[in-house]
Amino acid sequence: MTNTEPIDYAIRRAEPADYQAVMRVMEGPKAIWGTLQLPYPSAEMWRKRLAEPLDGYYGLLACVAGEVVGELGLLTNPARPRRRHAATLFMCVRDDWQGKGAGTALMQAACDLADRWLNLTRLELEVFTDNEPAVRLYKKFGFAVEGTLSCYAYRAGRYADVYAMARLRKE
Amino acid sequence: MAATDFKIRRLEPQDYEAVYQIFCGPRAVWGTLQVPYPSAEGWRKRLAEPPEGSYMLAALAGDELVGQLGIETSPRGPRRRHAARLGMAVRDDWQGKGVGSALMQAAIDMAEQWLNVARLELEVYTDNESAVHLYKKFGFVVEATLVAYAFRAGRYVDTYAMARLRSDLVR
Repeated sequence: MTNTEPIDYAIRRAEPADYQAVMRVMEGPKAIWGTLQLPYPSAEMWRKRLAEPLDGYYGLLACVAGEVVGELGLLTNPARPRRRHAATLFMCVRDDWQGKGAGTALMQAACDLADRWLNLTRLELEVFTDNEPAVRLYKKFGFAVEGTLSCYAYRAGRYADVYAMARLRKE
Repeated sequence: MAATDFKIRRLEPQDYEAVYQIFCGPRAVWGTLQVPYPSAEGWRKRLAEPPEGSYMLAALAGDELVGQLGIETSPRGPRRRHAARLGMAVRDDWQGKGVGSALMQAAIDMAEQWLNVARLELEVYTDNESAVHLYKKFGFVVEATLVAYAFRAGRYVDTYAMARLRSDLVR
């Protein structure tokens, strides 16, 4: 695919019926490498997760011609009143769709939802320090590195560091 | 009093009134994510049905419960199974008397020697100097400053993300 024609991503909420497509996003080796997922995911686990999302969870999907190619979640803090202005962001693009703008489309939608509708003023995320395209994407959307968390997660046989990043809404 | 003067035991459901009393203190509210006017029923429920993978400790002076600490492990996150989060509070009238040290000593022993936790994490307000001092004494280091992390007494305040790595994990 060339970069000459921008791809039009349709963004919509994730629905329970999307669980198999979401699992396909999350089961690629690159997706596993960049998230906290495990190889050999369980379809039943994904079915449950989409059927019974956490309280305050907003799941978005990026679709091309009806096909799900990426997922983004915003987890707000409905049970923690002193953290109600903040949400944690998760995202993942299917291996064969990385580097083609799906992340940008998802992030644009998430920032709009957070800033203008959910009234969130602080978005947080963690990203492996060596996941350069992801760090670049987050910086493009105004996320700043707040610190480095050492040996934060286990990945491919060893402990890996993450950046704690956050984006404060411009008032 | 020295740290050894406090008896440490597991927190039990019937301790809920004493925990409620801790969070009736303005300093305890100030230093945590609690809100004023706590609900005794809320604490009864929380202690009766603790989250999966949480280990709660109590510090006693005589037979009076004066502090509590929770170790929250990651049973549902296999790639984070080496990590746990700490939360603690000391009753206002017992602050600065060694309760925190006694709890922290017990928590680190429990986590590192028995639960096989190699990374302990916590968040603390950047201006809570006595708490930061305590955590540094026990080998925690500041990994990040989280800006406008929580709402406290009418405004947004920053926290430090701190962590302590078990000696075998230090690189």
